[in-house]
Amino acid sequence: MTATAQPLVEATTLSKWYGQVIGLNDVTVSVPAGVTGLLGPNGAGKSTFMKLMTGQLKPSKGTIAVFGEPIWGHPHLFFRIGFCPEQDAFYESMTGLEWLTGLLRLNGLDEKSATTAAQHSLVTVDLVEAADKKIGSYSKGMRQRVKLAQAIAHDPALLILDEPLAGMDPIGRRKTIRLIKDWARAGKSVIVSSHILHEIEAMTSNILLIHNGRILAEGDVHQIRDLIDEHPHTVYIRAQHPRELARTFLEHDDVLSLKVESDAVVVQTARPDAFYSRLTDLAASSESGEIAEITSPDDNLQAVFQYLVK
Amino acid sequence: MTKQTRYFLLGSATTLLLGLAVGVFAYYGGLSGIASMQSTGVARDLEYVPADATVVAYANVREVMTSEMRQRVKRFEPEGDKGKKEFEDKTGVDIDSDIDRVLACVTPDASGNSSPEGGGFVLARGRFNQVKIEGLVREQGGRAEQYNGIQLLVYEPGKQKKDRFALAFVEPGLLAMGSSGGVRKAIDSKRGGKSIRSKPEVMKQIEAIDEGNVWAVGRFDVLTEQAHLPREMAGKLPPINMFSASGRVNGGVSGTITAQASDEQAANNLRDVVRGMLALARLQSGGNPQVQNLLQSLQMGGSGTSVSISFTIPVELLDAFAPKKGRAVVQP
Amino acid sequence: MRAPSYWQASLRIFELSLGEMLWSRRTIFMALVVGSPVLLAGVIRAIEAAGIAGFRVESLRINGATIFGMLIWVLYLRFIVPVLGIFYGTALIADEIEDKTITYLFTRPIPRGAVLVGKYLAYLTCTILVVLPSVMLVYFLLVPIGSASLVSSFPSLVTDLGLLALGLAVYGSLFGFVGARLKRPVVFGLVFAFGWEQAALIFPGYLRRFTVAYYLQALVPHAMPEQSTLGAVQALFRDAPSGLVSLAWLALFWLGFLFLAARTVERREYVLEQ
Repeated sequence: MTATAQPLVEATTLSKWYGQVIGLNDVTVSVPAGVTGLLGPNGAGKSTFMKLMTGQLKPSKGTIAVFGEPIWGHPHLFFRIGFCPEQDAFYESMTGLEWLTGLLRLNGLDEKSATTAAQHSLVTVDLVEAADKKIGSYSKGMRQRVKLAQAIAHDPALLILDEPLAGMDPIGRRKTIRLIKDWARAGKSVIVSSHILHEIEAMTSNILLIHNGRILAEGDVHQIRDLIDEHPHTVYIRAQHPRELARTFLEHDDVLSLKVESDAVVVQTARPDAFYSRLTDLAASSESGEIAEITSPDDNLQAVFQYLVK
Repeated sequence: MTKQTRYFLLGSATTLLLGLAVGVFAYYGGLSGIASMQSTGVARDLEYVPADATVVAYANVREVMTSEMRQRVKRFEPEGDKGKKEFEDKTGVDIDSDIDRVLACVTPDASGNSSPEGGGFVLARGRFNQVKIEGLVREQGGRAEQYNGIQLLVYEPGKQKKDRFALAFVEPGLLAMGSSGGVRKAIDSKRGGKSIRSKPEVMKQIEAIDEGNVWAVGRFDVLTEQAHLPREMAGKLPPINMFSASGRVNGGVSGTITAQASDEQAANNLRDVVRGMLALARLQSGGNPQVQNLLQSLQMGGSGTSVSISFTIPVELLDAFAPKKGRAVVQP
Repeated sequence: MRAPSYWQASLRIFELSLGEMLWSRRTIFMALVVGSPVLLAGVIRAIEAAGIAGFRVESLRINGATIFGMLIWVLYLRFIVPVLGIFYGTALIADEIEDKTITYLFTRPIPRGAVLVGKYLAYLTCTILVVLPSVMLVYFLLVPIGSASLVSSFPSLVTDLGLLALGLAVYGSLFGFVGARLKRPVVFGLVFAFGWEQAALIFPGYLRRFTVAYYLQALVPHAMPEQSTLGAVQALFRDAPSGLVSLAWLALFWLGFLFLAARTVERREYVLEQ
């Protein structure tokens, strides 16, 4: 991005209240082109900020502009924006292909072009085989991927992704991260939110730190990284053979603690990067059975933010 | 849109359109009333009724005579079967079993006025002793005439032309009798003249009669015009074009009287009048449970320009009004 | 890529929503509501065909066309049409909010109002194509082909079909607006249709003009069934607007509420519950 380039998203003294509850508090920030990570614990205001930048919510105070125009009441901007929301909500009785085609038709595409674009998008997220199955029958990871497919299907210049990796299996995560990187390499922009630093780091080093409705810091955040590394990182892994998986984890000294549940393992690790990398390799090899889902509670990030705001 | 949705929409729309198409065809093509009339043979008999008939009436004599209602009424007759027996002895016709149905009509006479004496006749279909009936008419002074290839027996009890009575077997098993002019018109109508079946407004009313074993249809506007009423009185009559009355005589009597108003406004006005009369009657029926039951059964109906009143007279109600002597006869 | 026009956008929302609406759990409710008169008509027909007894209301033997007129009044116009208007109309936007699927529609390059209009069209198609065939089936069960009363009652059937479609359109737009505007639209809808409308129609005066039923009832081709003396006396004081006036008011309600509903959706912020 050059210094003269127009910011993608520009918020000025932006605030949003839900009655007495503050969602976002006096935020002034410019989001440049490229990939930007929005990092913060749950309830920090990430989703509120994303809803404001996609015109779903109206600012209580201040302004927010996307591509230089206020987004509220300007739906034509959505030709250039693709949004993947956090919520797991779908038209369950429709097939993935029908749903994508229907949504693409709203972007002005005729039936044939919409079907072609939908199929292409399903190829991108690796869901071709499930294209004609009802969304109601999809696994959590497939639902995340079809949600991503609807965001990218019309080839937008800006992708806004709210927790896109939540609930995905390791291979799906890897593919999605690669997709986002490829998207940026193609000269397009992405704003992605997460409460897991290493996820964001895997995609970009440009991070906006958000906590209690305020932007705490922006830019390259190596310091945060160091702080987070001092706090143990908890990972919840839902797997086919949790005991076998736990045995594999015990062979490595970065694993601080382990708790085996009926269908999952909860691991505390000192080095999340190394742990996630190993986990992805394990999932790919299927040596310890199928890994269905990985989630990380944000307790560790919450502790870091509490430390930061002290 | 999924295939399933498309199929549903298609099926639903087809049901709707098919229903409308069948309805339109039945309405204009005469799938309905004519079909039921043809099954009873009334349609054929209507060909004898002249196009200018002002009132047409029908009764399924067989059904009426065998009805429970008829059996009860017979018990109230003080002289029992005496009259019926006399008629049978003279004509050879047992009313209970020999007559299937009768169709009667009133047509305008030469002066243009409708009256049964002037231009009315009755068509009776059944099994008749032709020789005995013709003999009886001749005994009474009747004489034979040929009219359009059919033998008429004409009887003149009075000097006036309108007093002429005529009788003819127009078909095997079909007896036409009535005013001489009327019977001649019936023969003309069948032999190439215009019958009532060429009058769609009357036929529509006849076809609309459902299930009745007795009915009558009349042209109210023509009747009032011919009645030469004083202008003030005529102006107060509701603007009704047609009227019909139909009933089913069985255990009791149930029926419908329908008036066809000239337009919807007139129909609404007529409904208001009928409602008022019904409300008044119900309020005044007081403590008489029989009358209350009868009034309760009165139900206004109809749609568009038609206004109808349906009623039911249960057989128990007839019992209540019957003379005590009659009731004593009922006891076994 | 060109943005679809308001109308095109509405039609595409319609295409997207129709199947969802049609195959939802609410349709089971609609099938029960609409199927009951068909079942009733079937039973009456079977009884008539078996020659067991004629259908009677308070000792009065009545023919099929009259029963049909009663069903139009009592079941369809006074119950089915308002109920479907309430349950479908209020859910046009509320369902999407509750299911949190509205996000996908509000982040597309179409006016938000078109979402409401498209979903309204889906509601109308869905209900019309379920209710009207049901009326058709009821009619032909009660007034079979070949019966004489078909001739006199068929024009009324055509009026009935148009009238019910108009009723669904007007109630749908009214409750579509209520659903877009209020938080508890179903409660409001039930109170309006079965409380306010019923009460306002009983009392003489101008209040009845603030109901949809007043104008709809004026267009019914069948006489209103009334058995009691009170009903007959009430009927005497029942004034009805002319057909043209009723149509004009209903058209005004229809388009007016649809416009207000679309404008509300356009301007209102919907916060999804976390």
